[in-house]
Amino acid sequence: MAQLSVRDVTVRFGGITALDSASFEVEKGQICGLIGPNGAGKTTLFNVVSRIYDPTEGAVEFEGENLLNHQAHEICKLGVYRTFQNLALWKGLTVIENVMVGAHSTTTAGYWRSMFKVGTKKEESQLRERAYAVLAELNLEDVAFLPADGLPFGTLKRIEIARALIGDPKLLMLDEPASGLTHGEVDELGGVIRTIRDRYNLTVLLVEHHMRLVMALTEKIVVLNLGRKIAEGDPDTVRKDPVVVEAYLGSSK
Amino acid sequence: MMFPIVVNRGSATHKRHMLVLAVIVLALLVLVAFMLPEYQVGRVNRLWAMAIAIIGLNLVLGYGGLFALGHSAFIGLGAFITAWLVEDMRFDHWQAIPFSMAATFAFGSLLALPALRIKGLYLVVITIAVAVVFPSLAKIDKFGIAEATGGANGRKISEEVVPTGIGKALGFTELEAARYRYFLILAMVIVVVFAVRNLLNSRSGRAIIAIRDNETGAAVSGVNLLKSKVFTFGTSAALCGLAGTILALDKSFVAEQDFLFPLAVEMLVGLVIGGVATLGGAFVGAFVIVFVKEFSKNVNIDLGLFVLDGNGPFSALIFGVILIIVTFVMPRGIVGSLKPWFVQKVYRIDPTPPELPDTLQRLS
Repeated sequence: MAQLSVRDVTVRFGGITALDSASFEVEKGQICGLIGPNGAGKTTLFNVVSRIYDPTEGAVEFEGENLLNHQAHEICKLGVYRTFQNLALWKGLTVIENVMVGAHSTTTAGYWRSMFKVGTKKEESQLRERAYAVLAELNLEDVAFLPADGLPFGTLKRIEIARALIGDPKLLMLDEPASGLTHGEVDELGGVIRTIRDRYNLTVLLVEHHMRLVMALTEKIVVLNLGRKIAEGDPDTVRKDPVVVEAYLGSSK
Repeated sequence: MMFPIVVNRGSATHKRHMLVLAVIVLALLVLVAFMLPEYQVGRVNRLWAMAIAIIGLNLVLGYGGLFALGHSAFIGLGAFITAWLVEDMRFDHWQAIPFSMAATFAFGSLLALPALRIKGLYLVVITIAVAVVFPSLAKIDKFGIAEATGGANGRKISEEVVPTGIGKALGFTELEAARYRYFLILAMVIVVVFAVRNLLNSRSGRAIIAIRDNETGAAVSGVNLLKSKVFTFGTSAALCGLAGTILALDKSFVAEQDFLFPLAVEMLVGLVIGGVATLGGAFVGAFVIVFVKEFSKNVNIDLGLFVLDGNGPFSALIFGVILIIVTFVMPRGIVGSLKPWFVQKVYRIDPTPPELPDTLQRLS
């Protein structure tokens, strides 16, 4: 059975249909690309899976669990983490603190215990060590104690990946990880995504406009256009699909 | 000695410096209590209470990013509950504290529920409404409310807090009751400062700040927005409740006209002048609203054409001008603006990075 299955998901905002009964499945361990022209509904779909939007119709299942029965903050307990196209970091915290919040659902120190430091010391120092190690793994330890504000865009994008990784994800959803990166950084990113997939046993769902990256990295591609799924398959099949070509480039007639 | 002094967080030197600092601060605070005349000590006690209240406001507004502006109601609620418990329920004075804090926590948590959906200016209006309505509600001559609060005339707490037991043994006489209370209140201030500081440097405190900076990011990282906001509002209100208890017990008197909406504005002024999202700022802010306001009343400058007399209508003007100047010169508040300078030139604590595991594999 597929690890993530999206079934007939429809999202309407007022009169606009952002997603029109979109269905697809992602197998465990797969790197699946989600592509389509602007306004195709890719980010909307991410927001449905991470429970920021309620779909008008449809179902989303992750490892047999109905995600629609969970609130946004409960999703990561099931192992679903994501990054954001325009970054959702916290500027008032340092980089390492940002990563530490990423492990919120795997740590336990509550409000009262935190206030009076009752048995929170060990968890706190272990969490700090773990966050620092994850940052070092992504070669980010030099910025660990700086505010997560005013750093280069590519660095901030990596910090978001670190924040997701520390929570022990099973499914990592990356929303345009290559946007705003330089050529060299994009090539690096491909290697990073593949390595963390292998190292952390991840499934990756990737929204991306950078076609070279998508074609080189993914094992399966789902193409959305105007809220509908228009194609699905391995990169070579999708690339040659006339419907996909038409959606991207327009008809030749 | 070379400036800036740089230490590593958690190192022996850092700990030694902190210890020396704590001893100096405590010594100064004890000295202040004995140097000031008794009536001035009462004013410092008010400063402590206001500082605790501003820390409470800061929790919601500065760290939580939730624009609540009705905290005078929480102070009033804490004060009235204290008067009622001590006078009618025959509680010992300080026994009122847990009940006053619990009640204000519950009341504050209720306000978090609209804050889940309503943001920005709309939340400001709702919380202002609470602050404006509160004094009138405290006067209602039904359900025994007016009897409990003293209605429009206010209510006297018949037994003042005077030195007993240990206080007496330490040599405090009944004539020095305010000074005795100073030390009790100071102990509470210390507990509050450490508790809030611990909270802000913990998993839960980081979650509060995360919600302020990016709510969606916090939610998908596993932060329960409802729980966090209820706790932030509740704790904020409970600190104001504690401040109310302190004010009531220190003056032995409560009256609704002491908890009008302008008190909430005064707290906001103190918070902004001291520095939003700084802990030390609460004390600077409380000093400004308690003492600088007092000081502006004593100003008497002959300008030739007229006398700028702080006792007349100019009192508010002088205070206002001071506020405007401070905000212009130090837009991030006194503590917020001085801190970067202090860190750069005087004293800096560098982070101590944790050890990396031997098994670490770096990605390119």
